[in-house]
Amino acid sequence: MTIFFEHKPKWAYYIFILLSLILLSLSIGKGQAWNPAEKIAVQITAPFQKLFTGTITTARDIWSSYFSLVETQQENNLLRKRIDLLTLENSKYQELLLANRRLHTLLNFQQNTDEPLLPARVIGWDSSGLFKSITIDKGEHDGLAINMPVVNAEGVVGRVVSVCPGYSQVLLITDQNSVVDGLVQRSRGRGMLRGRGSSGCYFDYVVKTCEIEAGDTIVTSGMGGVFPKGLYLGTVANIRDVRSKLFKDVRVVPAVDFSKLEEVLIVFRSGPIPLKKP
Amino acid sequence: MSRHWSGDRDYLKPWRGRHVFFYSLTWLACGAFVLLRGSITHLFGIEWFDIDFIPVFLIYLIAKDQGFKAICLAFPMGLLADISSSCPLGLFAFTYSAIILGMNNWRQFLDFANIKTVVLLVAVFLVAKWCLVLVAMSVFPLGQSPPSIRFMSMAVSVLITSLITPLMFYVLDLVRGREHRDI
Repeated sequence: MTIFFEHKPKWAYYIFILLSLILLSLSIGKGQAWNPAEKIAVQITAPFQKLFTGTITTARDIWSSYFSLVETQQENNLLRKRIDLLTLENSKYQELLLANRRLHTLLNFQQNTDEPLLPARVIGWDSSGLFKSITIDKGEHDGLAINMPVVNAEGVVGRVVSVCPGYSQVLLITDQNSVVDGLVQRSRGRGMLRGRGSSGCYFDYVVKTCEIEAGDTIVTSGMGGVFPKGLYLGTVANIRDVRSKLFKDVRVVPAVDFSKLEEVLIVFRSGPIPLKKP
Repeated sequence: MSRHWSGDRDYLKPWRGRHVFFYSLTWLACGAFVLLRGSITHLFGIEWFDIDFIPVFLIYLIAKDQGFKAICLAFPMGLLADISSSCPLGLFAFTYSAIILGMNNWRQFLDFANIKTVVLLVAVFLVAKWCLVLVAMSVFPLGQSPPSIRFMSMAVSVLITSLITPLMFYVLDLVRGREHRDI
């Protein structure tokens, strides 16, 4: 053993490459869910992330709310929260109104909005810089399961992709692997909201006949079995209608401001949704 | 009295000679960086900037003729990045290890004593990392789309990380050298 470490044969380098290739091969078809070893690693490392994020957030909060603008900041936060709640409420009412107008009596929006919500705190952000995910401080012990929808007052944040006893990983809707079935709130045109990393999101598969314009609101369609119907996904920023393409190119600005994301809500459905293998 | 104390600390000599404290510190710094990187970029509002100091540490180790220690550090740091990210397990472990292996094999043709070469190597490391991530995600049927990398953010990331490299090398030299003098 000592000889091995002292002389470091060249083939020893290839062991690491082989190990990583084996790990990569084992990841095939397993989606993004954590395996037991990863769960242990997250249980050990997540408290450090939590401590760091908590310390920085507290320090920043003290600085901004105490030293800077004590009352204005609090009032501003309160009003922002009220605006968020009213916006969400308004969205629901609009959905109800449109549904009633079209005599869609089968739609039960009350059922969609009555699902229990669990608040969670964001403790860590994706460390790769190339993918978009967050770590939250709620896990299996709190009843979380894979594919549970994650929202906040502004709209859809993402869905749970990995869980361990105390923590979970949420894939944001801006990640290139995130696809959410959505519809244009005004015209009911269908499409798929796909993440494009830092570029935001694109509303794919929108047919040429679909009535859509900049400023339109995109909401979840309720199809796919993950997200309840009528949740804000984002607003149409611009549309490109290229003659040679089958569908319209629609860029969407996500409803959620991910740069200010600190707390999220996990939507509990009637039962855990099984992981769909790719 | 002082002889008595210096004699007492003789047992630390082999550890210091092998830079055990320096390497432990490097592991701690890299681990903390990988874990907190996402939170740091988020808190400073620079998520578009792929800040990555791990290549600087790894190239420093290769420059000091410690290629094996570099790959021993690269693999677990890659794994840690995989776990704290939504990417498939083994992606960054493979990427970091493969680049280190390549650089170590080419080290006889490179002048690691020249800081310009080192800066260039850090830039090459970052570009190679993105390329390998894209290739690995395209070759392996992982069921995930490769990440979209914007040229501008990539260029700025490479530029800033490369420019910070001489400073980091200076600090690492200070820490490593100081420990050596303590013997």
